[in-house]
Amino acid sequence: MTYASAATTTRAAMAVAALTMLIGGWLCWLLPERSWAWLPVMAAMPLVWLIHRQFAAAPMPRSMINALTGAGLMLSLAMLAVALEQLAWFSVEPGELSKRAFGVIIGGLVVAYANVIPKQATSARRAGLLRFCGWMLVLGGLAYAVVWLLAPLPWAQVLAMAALLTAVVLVAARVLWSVRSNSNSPTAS
Amino acid sequence: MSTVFKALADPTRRKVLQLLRAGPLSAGELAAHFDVSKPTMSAHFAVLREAELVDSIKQGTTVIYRLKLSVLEDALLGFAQLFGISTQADDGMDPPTTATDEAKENT
Repeated sequence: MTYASAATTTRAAMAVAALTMLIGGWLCWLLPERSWAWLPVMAAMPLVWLIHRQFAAAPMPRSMINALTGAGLMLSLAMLAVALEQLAWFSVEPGELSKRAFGVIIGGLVVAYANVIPKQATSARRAGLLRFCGWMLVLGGLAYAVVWLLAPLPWAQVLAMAALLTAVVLVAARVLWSVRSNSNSPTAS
Repeated sequence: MSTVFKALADPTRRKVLQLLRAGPLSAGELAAHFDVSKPTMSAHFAVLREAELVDSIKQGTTVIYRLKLSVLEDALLGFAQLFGISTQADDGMDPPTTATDEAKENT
């Protein structure tokens, strides 16, 4: 997808790497006894850049830069949830913010991956099937993330799983129906 | 993202995407639905290809276009059509095209 220029993509990745290090540093200051957990996370992105710079002949491909940005955003969000919990700015149960952040990240991942499913179509028949699968999983992922964000914690897991599972069952049913109608068609070998 | 918004801002390009929903069509078949010159259509196709909203395959002397929308782009197209979003610069545009482009699309 031509969403941004190579320079913008690289700048965004660097900004996310800086954000990861900043939040990691903040966590080291808040929870010095658990620095061993945050330091590798902080070092991960600069380390990948360094290894690539030292050993790769070609510039880093955009897909890899995007993957790094995504990973950095996930790590930042997870660490931010832990940091906010430590500050106790919100009156939440212990571990609630991290649980919710993890749910939102998982939902976001499902949305991100399902979003590009229809682009993989190689024929008109497959296009219809993949469009349905993409839409269902994007809606399922979105519902999963929204439920984890807003629903009461005791219900969040059940409701989020129900939303995502409904999407998966619909996709599986559509795929099975498509396979069956393919094998029943007179042109099928 | 700006290339996608630019591509979806024009009503002609949105109509092209709408026509391609039914299945792949050749450049000639698509052009037959519009009252615009071939170079203009060629420029519209180029914008759609640049935004990776369509895929083109050359079959002999014919260029076949196929829809290549992600879910987000599909939703954006739906919104754009629902609210008739368009930029002033894109409305009724007649963009310049190269002779090569024109020759390519004439097939």
